Amino acid sequence: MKHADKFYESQLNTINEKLVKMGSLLEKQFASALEVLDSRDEQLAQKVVDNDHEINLLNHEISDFVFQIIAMRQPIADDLRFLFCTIKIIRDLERIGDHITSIAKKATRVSKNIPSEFTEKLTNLGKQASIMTHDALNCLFERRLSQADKITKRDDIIDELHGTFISEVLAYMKKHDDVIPDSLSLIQMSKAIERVGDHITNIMEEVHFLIEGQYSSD
Amino acid sequence: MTNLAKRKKAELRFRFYGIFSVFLSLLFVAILIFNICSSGIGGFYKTIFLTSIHFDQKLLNLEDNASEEQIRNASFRKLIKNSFDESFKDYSKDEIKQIKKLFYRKIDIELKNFLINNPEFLNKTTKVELTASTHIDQIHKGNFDRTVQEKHRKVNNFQLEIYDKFVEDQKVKKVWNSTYFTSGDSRDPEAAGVASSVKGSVFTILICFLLSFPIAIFASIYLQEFAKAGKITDLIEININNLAAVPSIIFGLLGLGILLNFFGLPRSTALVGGIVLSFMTLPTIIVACRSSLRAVPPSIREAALALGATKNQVVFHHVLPLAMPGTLTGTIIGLARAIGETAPLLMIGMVAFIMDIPSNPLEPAVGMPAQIYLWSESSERGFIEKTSSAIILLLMFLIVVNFVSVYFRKKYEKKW
Amino acid sequence: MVNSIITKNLNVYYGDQQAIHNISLDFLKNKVTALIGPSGCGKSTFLRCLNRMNDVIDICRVEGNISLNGMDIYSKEIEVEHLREKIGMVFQKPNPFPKSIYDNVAYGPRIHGFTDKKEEMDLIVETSLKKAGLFEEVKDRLDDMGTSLSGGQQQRLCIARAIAIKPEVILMDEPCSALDPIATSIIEELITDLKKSYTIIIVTHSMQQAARVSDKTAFFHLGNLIEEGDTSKIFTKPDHQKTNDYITGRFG
Repeated sequence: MKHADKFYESQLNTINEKLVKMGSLLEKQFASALEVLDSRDEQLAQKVVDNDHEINLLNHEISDFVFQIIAMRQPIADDLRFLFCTIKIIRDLERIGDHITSIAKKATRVSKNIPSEFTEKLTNLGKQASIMTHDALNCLFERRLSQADKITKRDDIIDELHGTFISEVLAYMKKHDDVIPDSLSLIQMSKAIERVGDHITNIMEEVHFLIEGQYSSD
Repeated sequence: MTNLAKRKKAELRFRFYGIFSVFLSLLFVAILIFNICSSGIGGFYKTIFLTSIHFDQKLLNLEDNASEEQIRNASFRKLIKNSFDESFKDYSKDEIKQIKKLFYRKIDIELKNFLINNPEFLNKTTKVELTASTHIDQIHKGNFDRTVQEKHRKVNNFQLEIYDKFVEDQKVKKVWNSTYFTSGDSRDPEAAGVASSVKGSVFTILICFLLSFPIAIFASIYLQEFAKAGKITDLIEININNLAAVPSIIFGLLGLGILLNFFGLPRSTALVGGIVLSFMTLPTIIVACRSSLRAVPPSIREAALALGATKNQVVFHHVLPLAMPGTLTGTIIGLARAIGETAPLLMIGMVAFIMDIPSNPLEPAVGMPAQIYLWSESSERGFIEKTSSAIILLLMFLIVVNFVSVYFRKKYEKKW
Repeated sequence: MVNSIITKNLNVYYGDQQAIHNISLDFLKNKVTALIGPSGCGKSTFLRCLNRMNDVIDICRVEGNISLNGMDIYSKEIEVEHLREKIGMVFQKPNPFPKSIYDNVAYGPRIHGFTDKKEEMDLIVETSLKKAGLFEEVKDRLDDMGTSLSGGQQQRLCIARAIAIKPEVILMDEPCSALDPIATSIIEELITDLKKSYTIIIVTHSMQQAARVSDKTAFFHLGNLIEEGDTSKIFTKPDHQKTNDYITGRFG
């Protein structure tokens, strides 16, 4: 049902729209970053870095707006939960954006000496995280928890893949000491993707609170 | 012209109409008051002749130190005849007769009263104020045109001559007419007073108030606060409102039919008059009291009820005191109307010639408006003045009553 | 947790129209319960059933059971005046009697015959005014008209008047709707203070006020009790969609 006060309704809608914009921008950034990993395209990487600024701006814009609505409208119940969650979610989204930027930056530095096996595995890991992000944002925008379990399971998969990837890279490093800087970058990128997964898990907790009025017990 | 300018002009026009209306109504009131006062003030004064009289013991056939009783029974006729004969030695018998007519015809009673009040003048000569006849009174007050032909005058040329001589001798004076306030009605304008009618009015209004005020208040409280809303209550309400609009003479008929014929109450009395006027006043007070009760905010009732007050306590502690100013105003308006009422009194015989001043409500009485009506019917010129004077008194009475009502309203009015 | 007032299957009719549908709601002792809901939802009618103020309305019919400390308040043995001594009420518009401040407070104790002695009455008036947080402001002018006070003071005077008859429960029907924010917050603080000694049931249109002062909240809609529960729960995550829509302003 819509608010009796149309202006209030439109204010809440604006926040939702900005949130959607931030989410879709983030998904695009993620895709670009993974492409850089494949192509080592420095221009594209620079574009990712530049676009991150827009995400940071959106973060501030949304939090200013939410702050204003809280002050002026004293929202309660689901409106309050939405605004409260928004504040927390945009922080996670902004952090995800930072991680993506660092992936894009580091990806250009990985030399061709590294076997493509590793970059492929990393891309796969990134795709898992990307899907997870997409699903989580869908949960948020559609206000449903049906896929929540799937999303948290994907985080477990990411953690597992990240673990094996690290040990594989370490094993490779031991044999080839000339690729240590590149390997380090690989590890850092893997770690960033794993962190993205953690942030998504946080977001899912907020979505759970938004919908259920309380944080999930597990 | 713009719309706003039009509206402002309309307002200006309206203001002008308003001021004009107020001015017009004030003008009417001013004319009325001026007219009545100019013709009525004179009624409070009377013309007297300062005449020196020798209270001859022999002529009066009285002993020294005669008692009041003896003086009362004495005949003053000889004394008067003697005095006139002595004072006007140069005139013929017929002329003296005419001179006598300059005086009020009951000189003997005036002299008698003077001697009763001042017995020490027995056998002495003193100046006595003797009331002039009503015609001389009118001439002296200037209400009479002396240029009228003699045959159309009540006072002939010879009498005027004598009167002028008196004036020259400074024997004629205009003094405060205390008789007007102390005596009852009379056939003679010289002796007629308002005392009996004022007292009659006071008794009537008192009875009217004592009957209508409590009955009206109890009826209003019951109807407004206790009676359940329904068809019967509505019917009663409509009938009370109708009753307030019934012509007053109908109430007189009611009094005649029920109070006089059926209950056999004495006719022409203030008691019956008061009862009849209270029939008339009741609906007015009930309507005023009910609307005042209705105007008491329900929040006050709720406040008292919520504290555990009974309905009776709510009404008598809170609602009625707040409704009192309005009720009092209504009561006074009703009573003021009753004071001025003549028609219903006509039917019960309270418009009659009553000389005696009533001492209680069971004695025959006449009200002030009825007195005014009676006097206005009289042919003597002197009564015209009396009529206006009585109207002034009545108006003053009403003004006082109105001020009292304003005073009470201001005193008991409370803001919430 | 002890229940002070228990209502069971309460139905109220105005003539043929049913104003309250089968409401069962309990009120905890020494707690503030807020009744919220859109205009005409029956919350005021419900409140007025609790001290039988609806008795005055001829066409009003009450069915069901309301008990105060286990006593059926609609039973024949209960005198309504006695009941109202136990359950006081404060109204929407401050309605002090057009009498002195002293008489306003003393009126209730006087008609219930609490005391004949002047000193005892003085004490009752003083303690009541103190409890209502008004004594310091008016102690030098107890003979002034109650109506000469400001709106907020008048409302506190009405609270003092209600307290003076030592009730167990105080019903408040939108007590702050005619007051400015400062006066409102003073009254709200007072309500929080008063709940130590009294059970308070308050009808309010202000969501914020219900949230600020009450421990329990009940949401009424079209004569039905939609939801009741802890205030903190109702205002963060109500169970019922209608409640959520109402408190967030989604229907007017």
